[in-house]
Amino acid sequence: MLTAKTLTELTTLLDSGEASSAQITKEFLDRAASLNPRLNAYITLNGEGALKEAAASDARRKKGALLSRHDGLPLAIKDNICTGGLRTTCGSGILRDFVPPYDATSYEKLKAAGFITLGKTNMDEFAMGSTTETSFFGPAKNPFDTTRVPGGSSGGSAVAVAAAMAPAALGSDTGGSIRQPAAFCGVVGIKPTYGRVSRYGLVAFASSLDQIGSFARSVDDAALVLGVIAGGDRRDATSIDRPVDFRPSELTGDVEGMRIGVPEEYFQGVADEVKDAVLEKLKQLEAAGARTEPISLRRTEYAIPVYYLIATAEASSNLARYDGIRYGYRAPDVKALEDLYRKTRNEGFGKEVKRRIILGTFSLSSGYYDAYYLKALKGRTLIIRDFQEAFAKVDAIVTPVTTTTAFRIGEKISNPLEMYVSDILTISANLAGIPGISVPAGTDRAGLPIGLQIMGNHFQERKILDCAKAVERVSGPLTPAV
Amino acid sequence: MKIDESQILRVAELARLDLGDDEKKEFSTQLSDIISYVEKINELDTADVAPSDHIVELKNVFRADTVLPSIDRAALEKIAPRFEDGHVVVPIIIEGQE
Repeated sequence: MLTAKTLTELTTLLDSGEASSAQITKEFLDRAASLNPRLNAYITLNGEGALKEAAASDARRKKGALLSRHDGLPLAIKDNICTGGLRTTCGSGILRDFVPPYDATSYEKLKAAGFITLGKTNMDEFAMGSTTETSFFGPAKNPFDTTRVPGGSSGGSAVAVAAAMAPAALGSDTGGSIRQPAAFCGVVGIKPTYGRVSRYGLVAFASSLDQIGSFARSVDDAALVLGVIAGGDRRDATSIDRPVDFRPSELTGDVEGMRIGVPEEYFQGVADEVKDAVLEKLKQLEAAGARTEPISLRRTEYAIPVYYLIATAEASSNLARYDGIRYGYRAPDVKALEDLYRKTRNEGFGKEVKRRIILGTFSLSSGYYDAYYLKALKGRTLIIRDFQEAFAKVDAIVTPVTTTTAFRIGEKISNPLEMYVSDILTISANLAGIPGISVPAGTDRAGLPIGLQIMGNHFQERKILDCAKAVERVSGPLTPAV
Repeated sequence: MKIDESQILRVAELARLDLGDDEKKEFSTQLSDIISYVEKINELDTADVAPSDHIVELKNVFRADTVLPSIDRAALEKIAPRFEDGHVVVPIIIEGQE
């Protein structure tokens, strides 16, 4: 079964001629089409388009004119990454029919390397949520238990990879939106350093926090995809050109002598089974030669307020562009321009998005700016300092990704504050702009996946990938019974 | 801090959101909770702390002043809700004679 293979294994099959890109792509498309009614991982399947791209790749292979070593490999793309000619909804009613006239840089790079796009994955509306329940297209389901959330906001990408509806996927992470769904669905998910991947063509949520990354079923595969999309870009002034030093062939999984910090704040209020699983992996990392030591990230409890003030402020500004004028949904039968803005936005946005626009507008508004937004920016400085102090002593920081395993659909959706607080273990990495990876660390008694997070200093992706590889060796992959 | 419905309305007006009665009520309760919660940041001593609005060292990015293609007008016509004679069409901006 080709859908059970990793990108690395599929590359071997392509190279030996045992499988064609068309065969591989068709198997993934068929499986995706048959499982999607149950899991809702994809908003749009690119059936015809993907088969055409695959046929073109096979033709290139025949001529010996491959675009890269990865030519012909398929993957899925989160629906907030602009794919020219292929609908990009961002999980929102306001972009329900939006077909972008241009490509995001990350997508352009994948195409230039010969990757095939299987489809666009489900997500929380504008990436605002931790479950995919806020999607205009309905929630995605956790393949380990379809009554539970897959996490979010990149829930569809995590589900697609976990259920073998794609071998890998792109996601985006503003406060944990790659790492948390990866943990809930038992796959690998990496958010790189802020600036490592161009954000050009990524629908903006919180521009100082957003970063594109990858999902896969192995650490090597996640690194492979990240390596393809990484790099500076003149169209994103915050992107930074650094050489990629973490290609699968460069990863050793060697943690001998690696100094790993274990912050006590990240183990408070964490379910016993999750805590125990991470502590057990830490012991195994020690056995493999790593040295662990307790550290303190003492301002962790302030990360939630700091994050939600900054993220919503940036969102309220970024989402001002959805006005029904140039693209996207426009409310019908409106007589005056001012009414058009209001009606379009009211009908086009879902509740969580409105809630965050209101919160962000509030904290930026006259009279409240200093006390809320500016104060949060100063709090951000302190959280960054905590990490700087920690990375002066250690190479990597290991923590749980989430406080619990996947919760039930509907459990937290009516209480936004409770939902926000559940992001406590992932948001600090975004505030500090550092890379983080979620790697499977076993399951709880109910069989639900547990994720282990490794955070590193800026541009230290290689260190956290090596550490993740060491964890992967002792954990093994998880496969849901769908 | 408690956020009442009139404050929600003022902020919604700034954000060009036309909230329904149910939403006004729901948001004022929820936002009161959220604002009270985020006020926790007041416990942080930030007297001598500079704000971080970004983590990368932002500097001016210079480039050569060369003309590059931008998105074609025909492509914009395809995505605009209403487009006529090379223009995006909007409802009346200023009231007046027809």
